[in-house]
Amino acid sequence: MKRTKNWSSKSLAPEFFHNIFYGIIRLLGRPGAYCLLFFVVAFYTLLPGVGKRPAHYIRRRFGSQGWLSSKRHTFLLYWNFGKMLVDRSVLRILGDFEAIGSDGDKSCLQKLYAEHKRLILLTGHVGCWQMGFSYLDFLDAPKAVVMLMDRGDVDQHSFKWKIPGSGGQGEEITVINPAVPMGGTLEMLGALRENSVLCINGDRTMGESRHNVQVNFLGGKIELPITPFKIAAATNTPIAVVCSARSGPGKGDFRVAEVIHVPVDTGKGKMRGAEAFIPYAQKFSDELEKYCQETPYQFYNFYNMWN
Amino acid sequence: MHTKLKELLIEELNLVDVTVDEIEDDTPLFGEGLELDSLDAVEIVVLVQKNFNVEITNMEEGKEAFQSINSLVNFIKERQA
Repeated sequence: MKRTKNWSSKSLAPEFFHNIFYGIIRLLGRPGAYCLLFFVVAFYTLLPGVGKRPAHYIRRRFGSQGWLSSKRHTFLLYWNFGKMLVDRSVLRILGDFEAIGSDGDKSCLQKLYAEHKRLILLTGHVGCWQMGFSYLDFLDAPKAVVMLMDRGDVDQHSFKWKIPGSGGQGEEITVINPAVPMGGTLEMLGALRENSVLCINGDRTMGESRHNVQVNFLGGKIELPITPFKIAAATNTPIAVVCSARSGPGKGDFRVAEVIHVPVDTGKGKMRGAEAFIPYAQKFSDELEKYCQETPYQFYNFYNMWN
Repeated sequence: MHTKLKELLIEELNLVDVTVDEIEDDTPLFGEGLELDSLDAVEIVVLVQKNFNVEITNMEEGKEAFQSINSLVNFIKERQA
């Protein structure tokens, strides 16, 4: 069976370099880290190979570009990505990040969770997706996130929620690694059975191709995994598509873009198999595309998704 | 129970070109054998719960149960006892 993972979660920089950033954050705070980041981003933008990685997205989102314009887009993409990484480290080290959401989104999530006693939050590698989830403090529920940790990955992620009634104390989240046997699916089912809010990144494929479907995205076809939709159907769990955008230093907007209900028997009627999930995957893709139109420099899939 | 389980697997997992008779009781479900994968595991967990009222709650239980039809039947019988 064809494997379809053509991306990596590994950081470009070695651990030593990450530690320099962590040290600067402790000594000089966020502004010091941003200053260093500027030169790092400029270096990577001009570095052959690395500088070309976002080229596929840039061409799809902005059309064909000349060398200078392409480099400008690349710089802005890496600059926003870098600032998100710095903010993530600042949250982990100094505990400083503020995610803001609307009252409408808050009541929407509360209602969905109250009705089903479990919830899937589906997002992509966009904006401040990890830190945006800190907004979920108001949901008194266990939380789990599905995230691939490649071997040798030196990134230190930050998923923390305040424990209700603990005076602001942080709560570490359960991380489910899809690289474990069975792709972590049993752990995902277990988390939902325990009434968790399960966060899944749904914009990258990594499993068997027969569990991926083709959808339209930015004028071409990409593959998305059906895993979130299949699990939602199997457990009768609603999906809230979340696209959080970084709005400033240490700040992010938490947005519920769409709510998707996948019927329990999806994939078992006349239309069987992965194809039955295409409408739901397309809805998710549509929201990602809207996000890219509104926030073009906060989309972090630096590989050819249209391959 | 073996036959019922095989019928359910074929039906729920949409296993085309496979008949009940072709699935041996000791055929591995994953990897070589039926070549099922992680999302098929989701279906199996759900169908076992729905049809036999038995929950498979974690990877350890899953590893034990998903070896073959025999091991899945044994797992269900143990939990039902």
